[in-house]
Amino acid sequence: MGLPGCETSSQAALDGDRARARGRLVAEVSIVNALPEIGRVHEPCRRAADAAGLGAGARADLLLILDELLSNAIRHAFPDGGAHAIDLKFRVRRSGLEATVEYGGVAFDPATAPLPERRSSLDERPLGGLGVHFVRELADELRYRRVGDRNRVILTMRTGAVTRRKGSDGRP
Amino acid sequence: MVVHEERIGATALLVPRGRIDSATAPALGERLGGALASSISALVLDLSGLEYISSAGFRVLLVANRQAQSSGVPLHLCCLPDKVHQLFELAGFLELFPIHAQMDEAVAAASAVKASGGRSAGGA
Repeated sequence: MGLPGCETSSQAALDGDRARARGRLVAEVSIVNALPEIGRVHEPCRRAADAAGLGAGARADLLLILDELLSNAIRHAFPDGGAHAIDLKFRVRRSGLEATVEYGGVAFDPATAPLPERRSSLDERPLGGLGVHFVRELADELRYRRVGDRNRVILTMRTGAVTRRKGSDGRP
Repeated sequence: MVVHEERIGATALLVPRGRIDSATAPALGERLGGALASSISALVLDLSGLEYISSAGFRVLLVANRQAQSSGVPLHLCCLPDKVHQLFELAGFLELFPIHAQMDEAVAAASAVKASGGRSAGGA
């Protein structure tokens, strides 16, 4: 009988599509909530960037974004102290590299959190929010979900998006 | 990040290389603070070797700029790679410092400010 075989092939193809849609996990790392721990993210991040074929600029942007997200989480998410895990996963998708940062503690959505108003006087400018501003501007996609008592931030760096960066539109 | 430091006459030249992020920004702050507290007439920060600078690095630059202004030492920047220039633009820091394309130009301009007792408008 040929039909069952066809169904199997179709199912395999469907499973393959689903797997590609989920993305291929290429690196993961867990750190605890201490600033010196952030350095442990660099090597897996570089490995994932290479696996996804990101250029040097996008890789630098990703390292910067993760530094901002992680230092922000470490400073603000756990006001009562204690040791807490921050988990990172890197997946290669069709569109590029997807990084997921997940941690508990205080809820914080970097995609929609209000930023301080920028004043005209630079010397007097409050710098709070600059890190979040970088995250929003440099990530190609940024999503947030509160999952139970944990924050899940998902960001995507697209492959080959050379001039994608906002603020680099050729203005003098 | 490593920071190379040298003197050109009475002008201090600091050249940080690598990444300025939450881990390395405090060390840069110490080097800038140390240079500004010494007997120099001007300070030039050559950023040609930077991969990127995070918000922690911009905080350090803001503190250094305030310290430089209060001590009357001109602080000029030079040689921003494209990525670093983009981050300065996003942060709104391009107007905060005189920024030059070349190191020699930055040293000459910063030294001239002190010699003339004024503040230059900056270059490229």
